[in-house]
Amino acid sequence: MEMRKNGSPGSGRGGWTAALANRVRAGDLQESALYVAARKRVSRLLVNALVYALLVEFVFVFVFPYLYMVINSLKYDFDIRSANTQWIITRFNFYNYSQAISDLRYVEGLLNNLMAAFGSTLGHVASASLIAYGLARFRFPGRNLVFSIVILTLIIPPNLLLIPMYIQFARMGQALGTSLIGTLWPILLPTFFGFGLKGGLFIFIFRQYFKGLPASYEEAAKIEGCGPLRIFLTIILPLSKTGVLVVAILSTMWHWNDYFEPIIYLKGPSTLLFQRIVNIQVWRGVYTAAGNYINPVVLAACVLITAPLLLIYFVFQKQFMKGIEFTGLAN
Amino acid sequence: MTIQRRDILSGFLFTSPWFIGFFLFFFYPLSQSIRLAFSNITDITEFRMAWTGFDNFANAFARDIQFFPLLLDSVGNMLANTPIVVVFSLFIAILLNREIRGKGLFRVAFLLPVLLGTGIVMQTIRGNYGVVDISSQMGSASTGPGGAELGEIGINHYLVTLIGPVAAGYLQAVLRKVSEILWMSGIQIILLLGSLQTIPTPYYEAALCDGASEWEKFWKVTLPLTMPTILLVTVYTVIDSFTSADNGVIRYITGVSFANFNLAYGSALSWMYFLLVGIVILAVFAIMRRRVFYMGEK
Repeated sequence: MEMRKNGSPGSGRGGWTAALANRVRAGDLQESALYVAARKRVSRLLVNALVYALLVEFVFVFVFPYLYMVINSLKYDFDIRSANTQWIITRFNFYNYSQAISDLRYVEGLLNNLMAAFGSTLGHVASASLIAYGLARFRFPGRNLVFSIVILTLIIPPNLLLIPMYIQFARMGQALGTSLIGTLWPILLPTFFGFGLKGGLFIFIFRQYFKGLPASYEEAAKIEGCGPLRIFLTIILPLSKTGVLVVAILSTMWHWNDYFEPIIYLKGPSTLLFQRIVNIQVWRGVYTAAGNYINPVVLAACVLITAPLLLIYFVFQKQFMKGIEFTGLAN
Repeated sequence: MTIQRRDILSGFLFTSPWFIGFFLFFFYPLSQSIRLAFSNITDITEFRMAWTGFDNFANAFARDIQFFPLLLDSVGNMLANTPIVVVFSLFIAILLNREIRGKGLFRVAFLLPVLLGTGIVMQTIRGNYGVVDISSQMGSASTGPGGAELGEIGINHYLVTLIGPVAAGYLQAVLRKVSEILWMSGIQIILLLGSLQTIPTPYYEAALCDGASEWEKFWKVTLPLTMPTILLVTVYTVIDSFTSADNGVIRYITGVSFANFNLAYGSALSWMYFLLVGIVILAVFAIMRRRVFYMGEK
């Protein structure tokens, strides 16, 4: 007990405190406290060094392709062809980027991408959270069947339902008197009903989050006469900020990178950036240049397409920190 | 109204968007695809088909010599990859959840392959331009099947001369597998990181007061509270392994359906495949059910 007063909290009980107690009895209290503090600091330092070493090691594998892409996008032809300089750029070539911007019609494409990604993210967060709350908290007949079909939508790759899906949207357009094909609607609409690209996964994510939340919050609100929808909007959703964030990140990312849906449904000026890259490939005759030839303009286009996504993600992930503080306080 | 009834009503109310979505966007394609599996296409432009019963399925068993070996292969891959991916991503998520400098950068770095990999960018750098020769750029063995591909951990020249090309080939194969698995774990890391962050700090403080070590805290606090997400991640990894575009069966089915334009047979194959995947997923749920504990479970 005396030890605690002398300002060395946090040391585990077990062996440490036993050793400490002996020392205390022996009378050299001061020395032992210092000794423990030093030991602790050293071990923390060692652990941190190990963590960094591991992370850096793994990060290399992850970062490598991106680094490769960025470096080659800044090269002139002679650097690309050169056998000696794989990682070194003797002269920077920013012309690749201006070329890629004009070839992609970047601003127009970027706006389309932002619309598709944010629209469908909004749809997924709104619909998947509602549906998942229903699945997580209420017992109703057919609940397991609904959840099984949700998982089934995940198992079936979208390209296998391609043709009937296209027909369905063409018919829907006819019924509405317009054409849905060629617009963003076939991509956006299903997301507002828990379907669309990986919609089932988002329901699953939210379901797991909601099931992990203690039921006591809702019970307290229920006693005060709160309806289920209000409980959901004012208690559950604010508590699941992290879940919302994860779903938003993933949905944005997948829609940004999706190639399959856009190439079926979109055309002309409404195309997304990834579709436009194919144009560059065709125009620049990349396909005919077989062998070890990297087209720096295509790589520059790849960098331009992925850069906004990186930025969005970087901003999003900072919110993770706030997520912890929030739940910490709430509990 | 009884509580039970109210629950039923609320349940249907909350899931009502899904029911609408199911009938608008899923029911028709699904039924068409199932019908197609039991039919033959008679007119492709009108998408007309004639019922043939179980012919397509019978063909898969009787004539197709490629399908079942591929199926076994993909089950084997899934069994090998899933535990490694889940454990690795949990490990990384725990590291990233620590208070370390440059956390944001690390988080971005681990998601990079996913940011790139799902899109055409990866194909662009990887396939079309013959960047396969990247091995030489990483200073590794570029000859034979042992050569490293883009982004893989390469083996040094000197090592190759030291241990010989055969051993180097094996080593390279192992390293290739490792990079592949690392690349598969981006989403899982994000999911687990999100879950780790929702563990209330008072739990750890309480554990600390009781004198729990880091090791005990992991097993007694972190793991039980992360189990719902571990179930999610496991199911996701299994599905990802089965349905990624690199999967042999998926490639084969896509080839049959679109390259050979045998849509009906492709559909039959896919439904057999989905049945298998569904059974595996059911098994995952059944195995993990007893170990997953939900805080909100009544």
